[in-house]
Amino acid sequence: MNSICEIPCGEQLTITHCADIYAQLLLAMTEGQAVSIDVSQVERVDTAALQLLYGFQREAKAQGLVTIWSQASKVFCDAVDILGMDQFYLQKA
Amino acid sequence: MSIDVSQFHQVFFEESFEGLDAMEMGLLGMQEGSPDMEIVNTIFRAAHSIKGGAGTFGFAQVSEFTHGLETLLDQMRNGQRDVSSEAVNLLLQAVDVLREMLTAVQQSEDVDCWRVNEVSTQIEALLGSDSDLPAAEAPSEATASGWLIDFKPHPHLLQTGNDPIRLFNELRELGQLTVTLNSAGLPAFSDLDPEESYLSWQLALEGDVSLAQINEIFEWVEGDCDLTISPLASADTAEVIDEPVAVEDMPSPQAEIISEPAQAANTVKSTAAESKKAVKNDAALASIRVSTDKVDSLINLVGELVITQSMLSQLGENFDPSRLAQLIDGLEQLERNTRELQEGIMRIRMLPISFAFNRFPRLVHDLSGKMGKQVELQLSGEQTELDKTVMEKIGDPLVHLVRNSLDHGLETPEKRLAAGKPESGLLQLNAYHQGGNIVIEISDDGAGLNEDKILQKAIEKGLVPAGEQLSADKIHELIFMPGFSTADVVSDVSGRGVGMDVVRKNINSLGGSVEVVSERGVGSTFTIRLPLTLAIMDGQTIQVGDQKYIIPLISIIESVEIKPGTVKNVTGKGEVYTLRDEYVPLIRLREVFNLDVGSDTLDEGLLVVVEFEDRKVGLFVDELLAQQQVVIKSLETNYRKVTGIAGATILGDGTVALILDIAGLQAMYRDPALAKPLRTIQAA
Repeated sequence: MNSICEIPCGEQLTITHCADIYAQLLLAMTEGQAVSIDVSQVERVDTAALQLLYGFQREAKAQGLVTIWSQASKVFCDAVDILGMDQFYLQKA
Repeated sequence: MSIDVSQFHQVFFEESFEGLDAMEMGLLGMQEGSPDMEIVNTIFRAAHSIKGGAGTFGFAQVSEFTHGLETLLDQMRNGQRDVSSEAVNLLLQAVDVLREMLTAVQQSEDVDCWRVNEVSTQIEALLGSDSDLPAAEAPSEATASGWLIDFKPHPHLLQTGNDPIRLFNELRELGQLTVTLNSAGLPAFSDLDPEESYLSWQLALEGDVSLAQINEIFEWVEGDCDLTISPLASADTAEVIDEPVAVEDMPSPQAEIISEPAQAANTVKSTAAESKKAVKNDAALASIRVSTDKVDSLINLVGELVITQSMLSQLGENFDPSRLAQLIDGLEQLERNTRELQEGIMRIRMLPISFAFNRFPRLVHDLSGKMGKQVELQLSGEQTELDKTVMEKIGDPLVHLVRNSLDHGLETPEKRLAAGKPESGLLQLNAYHQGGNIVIEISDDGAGLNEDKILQKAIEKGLVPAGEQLSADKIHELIFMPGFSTADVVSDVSGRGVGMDVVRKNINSLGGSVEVVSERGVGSTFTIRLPLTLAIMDGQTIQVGDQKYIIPLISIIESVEIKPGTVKNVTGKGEVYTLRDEYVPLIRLREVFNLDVGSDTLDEGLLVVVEFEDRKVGLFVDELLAQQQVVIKSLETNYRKVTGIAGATILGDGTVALILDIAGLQAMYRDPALAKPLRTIQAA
């Protein structure tokens, strides 16, 4: 299966949405599917959501899974920054 | 005699943590170069008390460590050493180490010997080095003010609606915030529960921020996280863990890379944990353990009060003069209920003095062994009760007095035998109630005070002009002067000159007095008199001019009408009253308080003869009013200290009456200059 799993995070990215996103990401990961995460519209984000994405990115990288990040909204960038998560969503060499 | 001293360990720990807090506060407020001597003294006293307590309970390691610290502080106190930032930093570290040691001892854990040795070596090195240390050598981080915060949310924190993002944003508003994420706790993605918290953070907050401000931010998550806050400057190991935890570095939480920093983190964390615990201990200090019996009886009393109140309000609803007798009955009952309730409440604050006494057998045992003396300790009156606040404050002065008796008073067995005394010395601690006071006596059958040596030392220190002739009593008083010590060698028992002045200061601040009676070769007796409670006292209301004042009932000897011819003028000393066969100084309160109205004619008023420390003085008042219990309100807290006034109270009609301070009035009689500020206040 080569299709890309798309995760549109929308404007609200909080603990209430985490279970849903987690299920999608876990499925994509077990099937080795590439994932595209859209965080460009995020206007509200909390630690639970960032912990989830951070954890996913860490493991995806270790497994060599392709993850495509959209451009991040300012709210999202600021939140990542204040939690000391070191811009994990940026594609680094 | 076998006494389980472990029951008093908690008190010692609480006092010590409080002392460490005081030291820390003092050190943090200390100015480089020209320190405030009061601060240095406060820090020194705290260290001295911790050392004493640790010695009493056999925590040798703590007491040894504090000895070096104390020597350093003593040098600062005597001006032999400059207060450099290096020294202050070292002292702060020492405070941290002491806190760690005490916590370890408290929890029966092993003390971190490595750290203890490190700091004590540094203290030794500083003591061994030249006193004048160049301040420029001070480490740069000493000036950086800020806090290191270890924040580890409990797994459920995110579900409580609390969000670290919000907390960190608030912190960032206080100062410059550096966030370091620790993601070692994050499990494999498949094992992740998206609603649980796995991450933890270390935050460095730089800037002029108070601990209270930080605590306020974390107030809502208290109990939902592990939080340790420590001053940034003292956490010199912080640098090791300040390296950001790189995302790529953490494929598994057990990775070797984190093992070393994690250890460093532990060290920092434990230090920080101590400060947090000490903060919590403060809260514990303000509490009191009360038996349920006492609480039940209070509830009964309140129940009765409620019944009386409802009876009275029923009576008031349709009152007619025929029910006056019923009303009077009701009011009497109300008065009875109130008094019983008040006594009940006062009782819950009363503790037997054995709480303070029972520390001593061990102290005497250890010290006498150390000094090669044989001492028999006799305790009596241990069941005498006194207020908890007074008890807490009398502990240290008692320890000082007992240590002094052992060190200076009692002689070695050889000397005793040579003087024809039994080989073993006798040290007695006795407590009893006398009037509204508790009297504590510490007596020994030792050498007594050596007047020649005391006088010589006082002349040496410039406390007394050379060639001055003083009576034995006056010489005995000299030992209560600050900085006075006759010990030739500074031992860890006594001889630093702390003690007697502090003893007197502490006891006076409790409204008590201390005096010594001593005879060469026979022994010394120190007598402490303290009020049973600090909150309420029996007072005599008096009228002077248009004002009402309160005289503590305990100080009143008698009240007399002044007969013609009994008052004489003494040149330079004012008036004296002939009371039977003695002369009593006469103080006209109307003049002292600068009141315009009222009588100057002696036969129109009354003379209230009051006594303090065996000195009598007659107060000329217009009229005696009621005797009543008054609740003492501090003038010092609400205004400032005024000589001659002990405090204020609110009378039944809502007016404020000042409570007279007999000792202060006597001092004013002796030195009229003291009376001036009082007059200004009254006039203002």
